[in-house]
Amino acid sequence: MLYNSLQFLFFYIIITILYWYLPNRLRWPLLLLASCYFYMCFVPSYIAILGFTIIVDYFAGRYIEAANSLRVRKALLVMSLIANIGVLVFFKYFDFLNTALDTLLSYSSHRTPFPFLMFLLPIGLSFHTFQAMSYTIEVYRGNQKAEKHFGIYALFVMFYPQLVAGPIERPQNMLWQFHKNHKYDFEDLKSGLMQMAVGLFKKVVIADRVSEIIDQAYSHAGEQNGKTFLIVSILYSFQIYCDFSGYSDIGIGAARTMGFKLMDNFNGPYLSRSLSEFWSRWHISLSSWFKDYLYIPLGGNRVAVSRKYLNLMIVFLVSGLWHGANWTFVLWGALHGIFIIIENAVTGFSKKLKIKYKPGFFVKTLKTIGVFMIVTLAWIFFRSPSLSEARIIFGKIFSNSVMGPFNYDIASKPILIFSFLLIAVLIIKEYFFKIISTKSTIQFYFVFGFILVSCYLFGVFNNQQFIYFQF
Amino acid sequence: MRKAFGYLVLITCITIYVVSWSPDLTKQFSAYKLSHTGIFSSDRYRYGDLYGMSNLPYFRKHYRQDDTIKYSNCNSKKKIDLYAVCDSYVWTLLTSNKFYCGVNKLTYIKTNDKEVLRSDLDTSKINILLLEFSERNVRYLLDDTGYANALISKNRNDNNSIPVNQQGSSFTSGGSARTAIFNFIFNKNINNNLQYNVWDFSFLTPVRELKSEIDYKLFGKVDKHVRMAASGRQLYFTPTIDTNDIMSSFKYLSEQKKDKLINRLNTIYENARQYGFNKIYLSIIPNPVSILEPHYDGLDYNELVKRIQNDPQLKMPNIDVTTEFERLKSKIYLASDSHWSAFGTTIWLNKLNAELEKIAIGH
Repeated sequence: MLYNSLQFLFFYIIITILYWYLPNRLRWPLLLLASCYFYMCFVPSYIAILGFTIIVDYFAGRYIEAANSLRVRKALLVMSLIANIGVLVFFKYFDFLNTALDTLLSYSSHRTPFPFLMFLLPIGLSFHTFQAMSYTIEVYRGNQKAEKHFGIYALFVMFYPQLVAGPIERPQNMLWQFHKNHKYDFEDLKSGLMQMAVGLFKKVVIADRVSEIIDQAYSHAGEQNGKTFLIVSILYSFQIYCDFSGYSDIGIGAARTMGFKLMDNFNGPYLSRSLSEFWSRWHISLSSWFKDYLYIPLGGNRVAVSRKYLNLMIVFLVSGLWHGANWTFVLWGALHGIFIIIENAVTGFSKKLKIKYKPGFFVKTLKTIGVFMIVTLAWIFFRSPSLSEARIIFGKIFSNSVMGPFNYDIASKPILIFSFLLIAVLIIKEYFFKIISTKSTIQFYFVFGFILVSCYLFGVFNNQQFIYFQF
Repeated sequence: MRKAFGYLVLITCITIYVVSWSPDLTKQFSAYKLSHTGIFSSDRYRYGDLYGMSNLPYFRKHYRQDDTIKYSNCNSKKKIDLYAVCDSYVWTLLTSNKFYCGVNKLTYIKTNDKEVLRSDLDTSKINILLLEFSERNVRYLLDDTGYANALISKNRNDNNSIPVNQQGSSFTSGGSARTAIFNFIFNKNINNNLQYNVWDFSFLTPVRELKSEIDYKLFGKVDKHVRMAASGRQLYFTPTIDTNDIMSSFKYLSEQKKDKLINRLNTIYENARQYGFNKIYLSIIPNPVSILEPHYDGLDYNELVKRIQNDPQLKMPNIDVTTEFERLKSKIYLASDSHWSAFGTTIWLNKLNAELEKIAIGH
C-alpha cells in the first residue's frame, strides 16, 4: 500500500479512529493486524519472510537474555544475525553474487553452477531486517530487556508507519511505546497531520513531478548533453530527498497522530557544510545504525588513523551495498567513503597545524554548494541503471557539452522553471513549517487545507512507488 | 459530539472501503450513478469515454450530442439469422434487429468479455456470421490461438463451451475460493474502485477539470489513458498509440505475425463453416488514430487493417470501411470518445446492409 494512494488515506483514517476508540488492550492487535494487511497489499506471500525474521529474533532475544554464559549469548546472537543476514543475502544479493561468480568463471570458460533465482525483492527487506537485528544486538549488549510479549515484539518489527522504508527504529525508543496507554492529544494529532501533509507535498508535488523530467532524460541518455545531465542531476538530488524524506514525514506523522514518537530521519541535509555533517543529517536512522553496529565495533575513531580510514571505507561500502545489489551502489558508497576520508585527512591536518579559521558567510555558502555538488554527482551512480551508463553521463558532464544548451525536449522552459520554483518553495517551506505554530487551530486548518489543495492541484498521482521501497 | 463525528467518519470510510473491495458492488454503484442525473450522478461517459478519463473541460464544452444512426428500411423478407461477434463499436446496434436488412433473429457474442458461441443454428434460415473487430482488438484477441479456436466450436464438452448470452459466458475462467478471497481482500484494483466511488460525482467535475487543466496547460500532461491529437481538439485512447501495447496502430507488425493473424481468422472461418454458417464476413473498424493521424508524433502506422483485408490468403469477404473513412476523416469519430460517431456507424451499417440485402434477395 502506497502512502500516496487513496487506499492508504482510507486505511489510515479507519485505523487511526479505531485505535483511539478501542481500549488499550486491543490496540496492539489492531495495529499488528493493520500492519500485516498493509504489508500484504504489496505481495501477500512475503509476509512469511517477515514472520520468519520475527520468530527467529523473538526467541533469540529471549534465549540471549536467559543465557548465563557469554559464549552461549554470543553464539545465539551470531545465529540470529546469520539467519537475518542469510535471508537478506538470499533474496537480495544471491543473483548479484552469482553474476559476479559467473563473470569471474567466464575467464576460464566456465559458467556458474548455481541457477539464477530472479526473485522479486520483498519490499523493505533491508529496513525491517536491520531493525530486527538492532533488537537482538541491544538485548545482547544488555541495553534492552528481551520483549516477552510476542505480539508487541512482532509489532515492533512490523509497525506499519515505519515498516517499508524506515526510520529504522531502536528497541529502546519503540518497545515501551507499544506498552504505553497513549492518551489522545489534539496537539499531537495536529502536528502529525501537518507532517503528513508536508510529506505528501514533497512526494507528489516535487519528487514525482521532477521525476518526469529525470526519467525522460535517462530513458534517452545518449541524446542528452552535459548541461542537460547536470541540471537533471541537480533535480535528482531533490527528487530523492523529497521522495525519501516525504515518505519518512508521512510515516512519522501517521505514528504521531496515534501518540507514537518515531526518530527523525532527515534534518536539512543539503544545508551541510561537510560530508560528515551531511551523513548526520541524511537518513539519520541508517547512518546511526551503521555507526553503532558496524563503525564502532570495528574500532571507530579510537584506532590508528589508517585503520580509522579503513573502517570508514568499510562502512560506506557496506552502506552502498545495503542500498542495492548493483555495482553502481557499491561505487556510490565508495565515492562517499573516499570523500569522507579526504575530508577527515584535511581536518586532521589543519588541527595538526593548529590553523584556526572562522569562515564567513561567503565561504560557508561555498562549502554548502561544494558538498551539494559532490553529493549530486555521487547520486548519478545511484540513479544510473549500470556503471556504463553512469560513465557516459559523467563523460558528458565533464565535457564541453556542459556549456551547450539544455535539451528542452525533455522538459519545456516553463516546466523547468516551475520545477526549480518548487524546489525554492521546498527550501522556504522547510523553514516556514519549522517556525509556523500549529497552536492556533484555525491557523492549522488553513495551512493544512492549503497544502492538501496544493497537493491535489499540482501533484502527480500515478501510484509511483517510493524510491527507497526497492531497498 | 466529537465522538459521534468520529463514528460517522469511521462508518463512512469503512463502508466506502468495503464497497471498493468488491468489484460487483463498485460496478453496481457505478451503474447507479451512470443511470441517474443530478449532482450525485457520474459524468464518466456523459461527454465521451475519453473525456471521462482526461477531464479536460474543452471536450465537455465542445461536446456535440451525437446524431442518430440513419438506417434505411429495406423490404427484403426476414430470412437471415445474424450472429455478430462484436465489440463495443456496435453495441448501440445490438438493441434491435431493426437496423439490419432482412434479419429475422440477431444473436451477439461480445468479444470484450471473450464470449464464445455454442447455441444451435436454425437451418431453415440463412445463417450469417459477422466478425466485427475494432482494430485495437484484432491482435489483442487473436495473438494466441486460444480464443480463435474456442470462439466457435462444435465440441460442446470443451472447457469453454458455455452458451452465448448467459451470465459469465466467458472464455477466461475463475480461480479457487481461496484465491477469490485473497483477490477480494488484496484487490489490486482498489485504488481505481475508490476513485470511482469517492471522486466520480458530477458535483466534483469542476474540481477534476481544474486539476486536468493545470496538468495540461502548465505541465503539458494529460491522463495516461489518453493522448492528445496534434490539433489539441481530438483525444485518442493511449493503448492505440503506445508502441508497447498490442492494441497500438504503431506497434510493428511483421509479415510473419500478420500471416498468423490471418491463419487464426481462417480457423474461425473453417470452424464457422463446419458449424453450419452459410456466409461469414469480416469487418475491421480502424482505430481513430489510424485514420486521423497515421503519422502521430513521428510514428508510422502499421497498416494492419488493409494488410489483413487485402491478403489473398484470407478466406472470407470484408465489409470494408477504411477507404471511405480515409476520405471523410474527421466526421467519422467523436472527439472525446474512443468510438465512432453515428455518421461512421451509418456508413458501416449501410455497407453491411447492402451485403445482407443481396443475400436476402438472392436466396
